[in-house]
Amino acid sequence: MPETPPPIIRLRGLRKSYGNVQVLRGVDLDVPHGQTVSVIGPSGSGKSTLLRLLMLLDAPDAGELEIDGESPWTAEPGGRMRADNARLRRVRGKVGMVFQHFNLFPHMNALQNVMEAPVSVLGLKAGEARERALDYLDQVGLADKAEAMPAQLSGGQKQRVAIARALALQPRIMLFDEVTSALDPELVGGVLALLRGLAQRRTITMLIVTHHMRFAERCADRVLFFENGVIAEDGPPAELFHDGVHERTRRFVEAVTGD
Amino acid sequence: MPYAELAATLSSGLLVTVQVTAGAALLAVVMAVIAGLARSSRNPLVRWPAATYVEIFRGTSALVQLFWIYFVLPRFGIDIGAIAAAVAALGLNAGAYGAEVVRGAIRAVPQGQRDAAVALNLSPARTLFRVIWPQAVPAMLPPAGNLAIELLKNSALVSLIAVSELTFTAQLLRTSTLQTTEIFTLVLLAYFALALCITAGMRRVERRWKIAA
Repeated sequence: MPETPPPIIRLRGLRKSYGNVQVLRGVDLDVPHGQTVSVIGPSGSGKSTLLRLLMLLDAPDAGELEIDGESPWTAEPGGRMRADNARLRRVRGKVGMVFQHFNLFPHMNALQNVMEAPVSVLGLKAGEARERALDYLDQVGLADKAEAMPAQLSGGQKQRVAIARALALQPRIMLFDEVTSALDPELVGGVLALLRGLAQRRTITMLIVTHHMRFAERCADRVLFFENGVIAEDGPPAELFHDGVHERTRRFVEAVTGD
Repeated sequence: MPYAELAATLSSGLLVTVQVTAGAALLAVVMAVIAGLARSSRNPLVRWPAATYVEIFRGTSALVQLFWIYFVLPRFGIDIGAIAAAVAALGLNAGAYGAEVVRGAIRAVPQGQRDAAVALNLSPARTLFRVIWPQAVPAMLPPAGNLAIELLKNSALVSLIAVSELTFTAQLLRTSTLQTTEIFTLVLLAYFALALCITAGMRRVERRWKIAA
């Protein structure tokens, strides 16, 4: 029997509160490398918080978080989480994130947005970084907008630049946090098509928080249904959306799609 | 004495006012940037000295600060002369207000920009200089223009330690000619003209730092 490789994401009993609000109440998850996972569930259920913890933007309150075999946080005797800075930066280098509101740097043009990290984090020379940035802009269909400032781009174009910017660091894991929620309806399709293309390559592990149920169903290998800060249901899309064993997911999907 | 002659005598004072204001503004910018960044730090050992500086210089009168530097410091063996005392007092005072402008502008950069910088694994220094600072500066400029005009007007205070700037020269001229109305009308216009110059200058700087839309 072939040995199964260790999961690229491994979470055990992950907890996180903001103020008095317990957002994550004990999340256990293993994601093998290359898998595309859709994360659905009502707002406030902890989906975005999960991504923030995976991007190491925030520290968990308790539990284990392991990415590619490394744990950036260690619990101190007092219970607080302490970061090993070198490990934090190393692990962050393996993860990329795309945000709902793009968060492009408004004072840099599209090309500079994509080049910034390859130059300053990977230490590429300006020429190499430029070439790489143009390559990724081309992959998202925006080679002709390299010189455009973010304010001159449509929402969909901004989001594609943001995707190129994250990909340019060649992360092993990509996190997408409601990346189409701030877009005009007619611009959603282009961004989703891009995600679909990425998922099909199977070279990057993808976690996609989304409200597009059809997208979640068609493009993901696996769907996580979040409710009240825990993964309430977890399975392949066909099972979650159709088999009826997952009652809560079915009710949520019905409510969202209006079927 | 005709207007032209009064104006000629006053112009030497005007030049000193410009020099003192410019020197103090330069010091104020340096102090504001250092203290504003320090107050934005997460490290309390960095934040604390900056907060102390800001609170002391905001919380006491500029005139008393000036007197303190000019009359009291020499008693401790630090005698820097009237012009330097004027520049130091005005600059440190404006710098304290400026530090709050810098801190506010840095805080006003949306959290999403910091999140994006962390997600791209940029170092904290790189994040500050490449992401936060270029976005914070445009927000600093309008209040900085206000402070510069405030500083110009405060420079009249240094007439009280006998720096022969515009107001001091005017006082001297008044006692010798008794042409109070003419002299102080000219002085009023001179300050107003200088303030307009500052406004125009700040506009140019604002245009240069504007983020292309």
